Amino acid sequence: MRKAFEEFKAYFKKEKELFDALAQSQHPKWMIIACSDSRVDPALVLGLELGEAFILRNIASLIPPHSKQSGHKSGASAIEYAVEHLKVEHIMIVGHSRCGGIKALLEMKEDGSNRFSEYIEDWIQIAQPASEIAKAKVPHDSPFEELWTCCVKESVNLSLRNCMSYPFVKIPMEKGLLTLHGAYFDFVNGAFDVWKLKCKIDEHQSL
Amino acid sequence: MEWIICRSVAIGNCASRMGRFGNENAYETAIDSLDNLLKNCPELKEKAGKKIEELVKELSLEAKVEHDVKAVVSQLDPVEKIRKGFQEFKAHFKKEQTLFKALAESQHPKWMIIACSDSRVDPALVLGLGLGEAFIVRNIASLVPPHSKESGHSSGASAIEYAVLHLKVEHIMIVGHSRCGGIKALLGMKEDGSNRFSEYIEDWIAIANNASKTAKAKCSHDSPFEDQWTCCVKESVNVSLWNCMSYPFVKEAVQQKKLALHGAYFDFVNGDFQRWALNYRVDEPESL
Repeated sequence: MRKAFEEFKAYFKKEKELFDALAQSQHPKWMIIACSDSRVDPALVLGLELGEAFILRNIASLIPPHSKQSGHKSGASAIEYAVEHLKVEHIMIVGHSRCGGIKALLEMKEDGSNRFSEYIEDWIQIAQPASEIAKAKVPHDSPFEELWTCCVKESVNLSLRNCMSYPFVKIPMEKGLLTLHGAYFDFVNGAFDVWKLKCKIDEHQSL
Repeated sequence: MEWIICRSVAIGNCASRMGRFGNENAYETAIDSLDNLLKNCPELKEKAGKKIEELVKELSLEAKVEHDVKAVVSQLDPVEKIRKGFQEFKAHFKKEQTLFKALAESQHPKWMIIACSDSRVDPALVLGLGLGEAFIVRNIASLVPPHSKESGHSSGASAIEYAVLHLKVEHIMIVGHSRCGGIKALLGMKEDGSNRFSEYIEDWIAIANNASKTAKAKCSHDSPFEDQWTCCVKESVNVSLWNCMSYPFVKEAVQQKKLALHGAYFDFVNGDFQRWALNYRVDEPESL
């Protein structure tokens, strides 16, 4: 790490104009929510540079829904800061192939009889609805990998909908100031798919 | 490992910016209050004029800085930029097939890194980490809440449990940084909550309350704010390190010497990185 930091330091000295500006403030256009998995670093995969993306990382890139309940809100606070203060223009939630968190979710028994952790299951069960959708969508006799992939993507969509449950997200989205994107990074085949979340409520019509 | 000692400078305006929806009303209310005050106390007009001049200068500087950053950071359409970025990664992916085939099967990172979500402190870029090397948690101010039986989602606790018990990482490093907006907001928080500005942010950063108290006690009243800010960031890292230790599975792994905990401070103003170890030792009891 020491060697690598020396390389960074050389880069730091070379790009003085950039770092002088960044030292004053940050104006990232992106907020990216990605899994903590060591294989899915968004900066490395998407070629992001310092200053470009405000990044939240947790197991399975989950966002819980807006709630008045007490409890630590690492996701909610980060989104509030990114949208209200940094005024990011895009939020992207990135799921990925072979996600251990989503696999554990799919294997969880309803009665909790195969519980294996103190905290992990309580965290990943945020995505429980995605597990139900995936199990309904994918035929029973398909390979597990198909169910796994489907569940990761449904979990991303669920987290996107949960993002929208925060008024400070919904309002700029409706004004066209903020775009929500889902993404799936497949590090088995080297592919990256993105999709937008569009939400439109038509004009009311009187009957 | 020995690291370069960092020096700290910290100014920042991120956490103090008004939100999208509050600012227009707050401005109108403030102008109305000022108007009323000056109607009743016209002798204050000169003083008010001078303060307003200072405010205009400060805001102009802020507007200019924002313009400068935007001029220097890439102006490519954001989606186009990441499309190009991924194409470069894809070329690398095709070249390093042995590595990626192994990573596709499983991950064995030696490090868990907890860093701030701040766009200027990406640990992979700063520390030259490759894919597969570090399990990374990022949140505002790189905070770890203490072990607690209370229900409620715990993203930090679940990630640490997974990293220590399942991935069996050998090191956890918590990285604080210069000009941290979250810590600045923490230092500015009034105890009675009268200057609350957010729905969630203050409840989150209150995890580091003790760091704020320690920093204010350590730094004399007349030192520059930057000193207190830097001190508070480092104390907050230490608070989070101790909170890590409050998890039995962390404590056990540390005591068995299977896991080492490190604090770190990344100074992107001066391009320095300082690291320190958490040394934990319980001696054998001695009979009196």
